[in-house]
Amino acid sequence: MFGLKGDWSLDVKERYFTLEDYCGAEPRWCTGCGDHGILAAVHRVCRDAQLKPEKTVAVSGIGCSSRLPHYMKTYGFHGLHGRALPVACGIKSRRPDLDVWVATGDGDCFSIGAAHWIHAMRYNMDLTLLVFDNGIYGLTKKQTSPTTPLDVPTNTHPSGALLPPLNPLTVTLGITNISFVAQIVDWNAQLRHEVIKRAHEHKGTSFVRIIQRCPVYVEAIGKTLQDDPARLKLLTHEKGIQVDDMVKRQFPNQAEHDPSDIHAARELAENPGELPLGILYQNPDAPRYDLMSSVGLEMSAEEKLAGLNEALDHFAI
Amino acid sequence: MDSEAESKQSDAQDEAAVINLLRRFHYGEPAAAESTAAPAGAILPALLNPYRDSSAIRYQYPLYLAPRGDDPETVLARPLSEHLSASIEAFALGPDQARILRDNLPWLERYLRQKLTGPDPVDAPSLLAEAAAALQAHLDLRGSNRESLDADLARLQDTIVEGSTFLGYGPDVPLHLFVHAIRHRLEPRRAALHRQVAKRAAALESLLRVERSKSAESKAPDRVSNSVGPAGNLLDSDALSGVLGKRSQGSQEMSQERRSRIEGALAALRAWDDDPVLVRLAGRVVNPWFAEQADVDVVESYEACATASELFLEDAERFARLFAAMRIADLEVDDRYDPPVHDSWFASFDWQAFSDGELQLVTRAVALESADYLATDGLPAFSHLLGSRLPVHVVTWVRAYDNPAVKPGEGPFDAYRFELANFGIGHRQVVVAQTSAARHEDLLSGFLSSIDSNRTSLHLVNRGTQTKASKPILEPWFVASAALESRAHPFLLINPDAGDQAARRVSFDGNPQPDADWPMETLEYRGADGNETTMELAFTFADYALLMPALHPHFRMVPAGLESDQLVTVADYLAAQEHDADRRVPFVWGIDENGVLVRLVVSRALVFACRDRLNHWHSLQELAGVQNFYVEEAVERIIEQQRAELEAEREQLKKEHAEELEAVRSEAAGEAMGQLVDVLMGADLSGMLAGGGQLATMPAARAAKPAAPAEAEAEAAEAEPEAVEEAEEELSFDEPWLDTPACTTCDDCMGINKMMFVYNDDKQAYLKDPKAGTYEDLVRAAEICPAKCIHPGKPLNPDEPNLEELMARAAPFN
Repeated sequence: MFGLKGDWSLDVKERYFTLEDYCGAEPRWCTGCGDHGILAAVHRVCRDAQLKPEKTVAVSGIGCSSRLPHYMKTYGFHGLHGRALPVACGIKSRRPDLDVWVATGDGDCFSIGAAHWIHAMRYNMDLTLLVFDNGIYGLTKKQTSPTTPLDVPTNTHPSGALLPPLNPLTVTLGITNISFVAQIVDWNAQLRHEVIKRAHEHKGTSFVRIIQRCPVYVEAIGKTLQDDPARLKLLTHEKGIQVDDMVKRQFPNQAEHDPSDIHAARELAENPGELPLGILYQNPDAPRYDLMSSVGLEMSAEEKLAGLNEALDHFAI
Repeated sequence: MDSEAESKQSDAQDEAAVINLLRRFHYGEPAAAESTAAPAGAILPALLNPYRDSSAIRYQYPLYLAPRGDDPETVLARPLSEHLSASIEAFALGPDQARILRDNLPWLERYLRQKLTGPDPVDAPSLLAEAAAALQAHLDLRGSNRESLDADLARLQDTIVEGSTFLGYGPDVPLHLFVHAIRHRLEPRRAALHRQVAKRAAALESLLRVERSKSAESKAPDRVSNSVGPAGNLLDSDALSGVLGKRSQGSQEMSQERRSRIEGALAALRAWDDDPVLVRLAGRVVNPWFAEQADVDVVESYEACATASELFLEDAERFARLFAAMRIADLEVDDRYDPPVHDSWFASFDWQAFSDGELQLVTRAVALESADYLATDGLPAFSHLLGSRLPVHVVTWVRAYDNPAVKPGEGPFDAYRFELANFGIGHRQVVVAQTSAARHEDLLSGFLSSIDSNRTSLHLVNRGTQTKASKPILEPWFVASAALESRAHPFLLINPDAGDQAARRVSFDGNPQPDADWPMETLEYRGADGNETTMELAFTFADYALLMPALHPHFRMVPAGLESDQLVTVADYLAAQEHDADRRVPFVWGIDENGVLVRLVVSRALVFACRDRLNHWHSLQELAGVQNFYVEEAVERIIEQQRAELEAEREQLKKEHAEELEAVRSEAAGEAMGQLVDVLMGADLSGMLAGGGQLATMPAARAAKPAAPAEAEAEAAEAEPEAVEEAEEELSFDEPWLDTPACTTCDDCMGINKMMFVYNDDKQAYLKDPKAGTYEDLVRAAEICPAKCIHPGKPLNPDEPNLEELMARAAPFN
């Protein structure tokens, strides 16, 4: 209209950030660890979205994964074991203007932090929640975690894990008011980037389980999957992740899955033989507790006091 | 009556009173105008609200002007943003290359735009170098990022050719582009002309040199010795001179008349001075830039049309001497000059004898005149020029909302508008270009058409105006664009060189939505309930008028919250029948500085102007063949004719069917009667009364009325076609089909058979050709389709293998 093209609005970046603007300390993860790739993806997504570093915060609990805030040149909070999510929810609730990333692991999130996981998902605050799931406690040198596959020997179960592993997807997909559930493997850069980008763009808690290699303690977990891509199922759909043919060739086992269909997502998640990759579920309209809990933040102390007094006056005799 | 009802009644009465007041304003009652609120503050037409902040708009200006070159295919001008993006694409493949530069291109653009606020072109390479340094300073990058940006900026600068310029939007943009276009067209032609002049002069000099060699002096011993050079003393020059004298006795010297003619032509060719002037501008040119250009001659004039004509004739006379000399040179070199024929021809050789190519070499004469003058006191001279055949260009600036023929003290809507374009069209052989500075491509297209033509041309250019002196609401570019959008100043290019038919001569494509009365656009806004919603709005001449503070007396605010079915938009008002429109009050949607939607009732005078503009638009549409009454009438007539033919055919078929039916009935009745007779003749009637027997088994006896067998047969005969139809319908359920609206564009069926399944314009699948594959393809597609929208039906090919199994698989999808 009026002779203008689609790109008529001039989007001038008054400040510009390069990857270096998000790179903190030198990562100290083991060589070959999948965490490196995840960190690179987070840096890229921050750069592509031109997030202001001073308006970005990375929160973590305890574990290998939870070192991520140290490697981000943003605000960071390295919390207590299992407590990444309550800290992140607190930040988002008081500072809704911040972009909050949460880095946690299979032990940190699915074990000691499981209660927070359930409720944070239900709160659906605008967080990007990345669960680095290598199926082992790596930082403490190879103890069985909730997602350690059956029969994989660990220091706590030398003859192999005794119980079938927890399925984080079915648990998450069973929680009320969830809004974004995805799963990826760390070893496909494009898929990894696209999913984390979509997770960040989503308004609500974006749960991304990242099946991640630990080449030091449980190399076989990742290797088995890499060698047998038939055990992975790429979810394709116009509403899901758009990847090119190269990625599709790498994951010949594919399924068309509409991420708005939670029942189909649960079915996919329940299949032990095939791990779905991509967005399982997304609901952009789920209520967000951060929007509710941050009401009135703009009020001054005097205004709040006046409001409180007015409310208390109703009970005055 | 309770108080609530009383209150409602009172409100209704108040609303009726307000509507009545607004209606009285509409009809022009001064008292009503005083009692209603005029638009206050920065109110814009609602559709223009997104563009209120002009600094955030990427529009077609500034332009990148290509340097002059020999390539006629060069794009003379393109938007800066487009040029920079294309330049980056040329050296950086894929979005990840030159990322920092790509990400910061808007910053670079804005920097350049802020620097290009002057009225004249600016040297592009130097300004881009300055912008590149400013970007580096702004980003303050380190290490490899800085180096990478440096390298990319250097590559970008390499794509900006020496001699190129940037041109920001200003009042002189059209004139700059005209001069730019003339330079591009004339410079290569002039360069070729100079080569041709030199070549002909050399040829004539050769002729004269040969002639001189025939003279006695040239054969003298000393001349012979000199002509041999340093080795002359080795020869016997006296003897050689004698031999030359004897051997050349047979050659003839040219006549004195011819020699004079050749010498005259040679003198004219040599006298041709390399005048750099390519264009002469007659009129009042305030901007000194034009006079400073070596190839532009500015001649101040208050009668621009007459002055431009004189300037052309003066130049043409100069060129006539040159072209005559060139033609004489050609004739003399070929020895084809025939004095009885050619002498008189060259004696009266003037511009009217120029070839098309020669005319295009003549310095362009341009008359710059105001539309007001052309439409009033300058009209006779203007008309004379348009009819003169002189290849002179008339350029005039048109105010789209105004009437150029208005007299002092009159308002723009006091008289019907003088359409200068129609005046130009009335002179038939004139190139007429009604263009807008807001569309540089259309503007250049009009200029180039006239430069390439040897006709008189008329350029009616709208440049837009500043909407407010102190605080512009919108840039002039936007106002000019709105004039084009609102049909106030539609684009039109008429080039008589293109042919005799109007359809060939007229170009109309630059107009938005040329088929529609007014362009329809979607307005997105937040409703009273807080939800995002949309409304389809026409952008009319009244909307454009709202941009002009001088026309605000034609608007009155509708009080917020006033609802009435008598209030209708101007577009609806104009579309309604006039007798229906009587009681209605037309309004336009506006939006104030706070983003609140308001309605503004418009005056009857403005509505008349809208109707007039619409009528003018319709006539232009017809001229351009976009909407043609005769064509539409012919189409309607043919459709009606075909409908009548089909009806007649149907009647005929029905008649034939009835006749056939009657024949069948008669035949059946006869047969039945025959059978009955046969039965009766040979039957044992004793059992009849018992109700059993043979009759009960006879076909006719199945009817309810055994006494009327003929009718029963007829019914059976009639029932037969119905049975066939039913069978066909049943068959149709067996055909494969695809529920297109349910398709999720998953591509699965395409993966199975791309000939069978094809996407429509909405990228949803339909069954293009069920015979393009096997039944198995259909069944597999149905099984894989996530939307379950494919229904395989029954097999079309009975010979396909495994049909039983496939039909069993298909059953759940049918």
